[in-house]
Amino acid sequence: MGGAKPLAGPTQLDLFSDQSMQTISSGRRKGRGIIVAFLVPTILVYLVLFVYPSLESLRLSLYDWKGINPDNARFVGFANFVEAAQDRWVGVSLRNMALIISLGGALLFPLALLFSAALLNDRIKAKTLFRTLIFFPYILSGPGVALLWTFILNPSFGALNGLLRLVGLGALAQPWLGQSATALGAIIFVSVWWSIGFYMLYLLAGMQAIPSEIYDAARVDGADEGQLFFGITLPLLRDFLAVAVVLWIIEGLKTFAVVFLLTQGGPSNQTQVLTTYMMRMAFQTSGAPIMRLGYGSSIAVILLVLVVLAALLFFRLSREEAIEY
Amino acid sequence: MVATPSDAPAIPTPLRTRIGQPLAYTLIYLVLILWSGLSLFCLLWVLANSFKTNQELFANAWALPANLQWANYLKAWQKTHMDRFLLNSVAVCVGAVTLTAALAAMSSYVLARFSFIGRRPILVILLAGLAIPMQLITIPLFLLFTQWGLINSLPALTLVYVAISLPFSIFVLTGFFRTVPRELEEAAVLDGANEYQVFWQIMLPLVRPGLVTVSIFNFLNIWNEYLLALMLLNKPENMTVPMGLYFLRVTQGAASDWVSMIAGLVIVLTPTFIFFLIFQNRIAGGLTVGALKG
Repeated sequence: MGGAKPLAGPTQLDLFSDQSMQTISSGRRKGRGIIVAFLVPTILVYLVLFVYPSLESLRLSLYDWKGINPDNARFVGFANFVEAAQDRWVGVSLRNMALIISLGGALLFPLALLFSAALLNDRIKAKTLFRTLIFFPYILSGPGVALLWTFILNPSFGALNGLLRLVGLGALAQPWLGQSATALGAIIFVSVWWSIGFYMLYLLAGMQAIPSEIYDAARVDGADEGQLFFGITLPLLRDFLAVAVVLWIIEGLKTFAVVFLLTQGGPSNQTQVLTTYMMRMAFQTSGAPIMRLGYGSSIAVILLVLVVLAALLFFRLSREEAIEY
Repeated sequence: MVATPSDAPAIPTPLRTRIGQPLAYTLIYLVLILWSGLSLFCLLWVLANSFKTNQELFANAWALPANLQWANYLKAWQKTHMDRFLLNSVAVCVGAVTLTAALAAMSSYVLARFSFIGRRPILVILLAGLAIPMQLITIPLFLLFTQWGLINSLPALTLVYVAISLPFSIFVLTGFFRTVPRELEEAAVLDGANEYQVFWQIMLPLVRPGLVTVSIFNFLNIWNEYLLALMLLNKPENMTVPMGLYFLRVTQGAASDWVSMIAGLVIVLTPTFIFFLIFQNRIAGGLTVGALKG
């Protein structure tokens, strides 16, 4: 307490009145060498390998450029964006992303809520086991998850078709990843399976923040578990839930690994999303080479705009997150 | 504590809940068991089939292997240069995680504790990186690396990983530095410590939990990263583990050698699992500080 107070001058408030700011006079007297010494390496690495490529992408999106040779680059203004707006596969990609976000969310959020509520309930046993099994897919790599599910969904030796044949439903066995509807369904399901652990734990943290007195009071009034959940937990969880939904939207917009490695956007481009379509436009070298770096960049920029819009929503919501109980 | 006296008049419970609750709990259990059972099954199925012959795999995917075909593992290991991939991944991960921790700790300390012109814009630009999708930087990075002859350079890839890990790390660590009471620093300064000593001897030990959390997440993200690796590496001897899977898929898929592919998947998943089991609680606890999958 009390202890050392600033030796000189009034508290030096920074622009945003951050209370933790250095106010010790020595910070000024001894020179601010530490600011430069500690910041410059970070800024250098970040500028060269993150900021510059991001800005360069914006520039490239205004060029028509086939192949790597810079002589082939031609400034075309917004022509790439005009083309993208009319590109049938950009439309298909946007539709697929909307389906992944909406249908995936409709599967993910009720389940995540149920899991997190169950993990808080004293009457549920073996919680650690359930938590571990539900959560672990989250830490696996995209290629790992995708390869695992290509095996499970393989038409000839996959576990799913094997199961259907085993129980006499062999007629339902099908090439899951070879038809656009089931392939998209698989992408949605695998995305949910991969991520649900995160949302479960995030909502769990939100539920733990609700003071138990509120529940005690309601119990005294005779509320049952269902009423407690729908009457107290869900309304008080609203802000956490809103942030979780925005995070899921951002994740859905960025969907890449599952599509890239499970279906490669096929059959016949029907399961493309913006990320995979951009990779195809920019880097496809097999078959008929595309290598349209400028057009690919413009698709990446469209994706950036969508993600930034969602991220702004995220920062708005997370700033409002503090509920007063 | 509000202790409800046991002799208080019993609160009338609606009849509905007495019947409804066991049913509700049964349903909740059912969903829990189905979902976690599916995850467990996926792993066991992959494990069982990794020991089969290709004939056995196609004959019945639900049967257990007659004999354990360890040869699948040997083949997966050799065909993919897995030892090389593992070494590369460990080197890149350890390098990038350590460097990120050092750079992020230093810059977060300065950004959280000193006021200077440009602090706010720098912080904003650094945190904006959280929203940038990786696909945006792949094309320019690919061109930059081609131009500078850095394709296949693991140190260069390591630096790229540092750059993409910085926004999240700084986001978390500035938060940690801000929670350290200022009195501690002031006392040290009165004792004659300079800013560097304050950082090393006072601040760094206090934010260690934050550093550990950040490093665990960076490690997982970098260990699993493959989009940039795919673009910036093309020689097998330079590839990392996630690309190894991709590589395995192409080579063994062409040879229709599915069982070695499955064995390769098991090899690749094992280190992640060990890591997960060791750090499970920290990973779960750290999620709420705002971890995002890249």
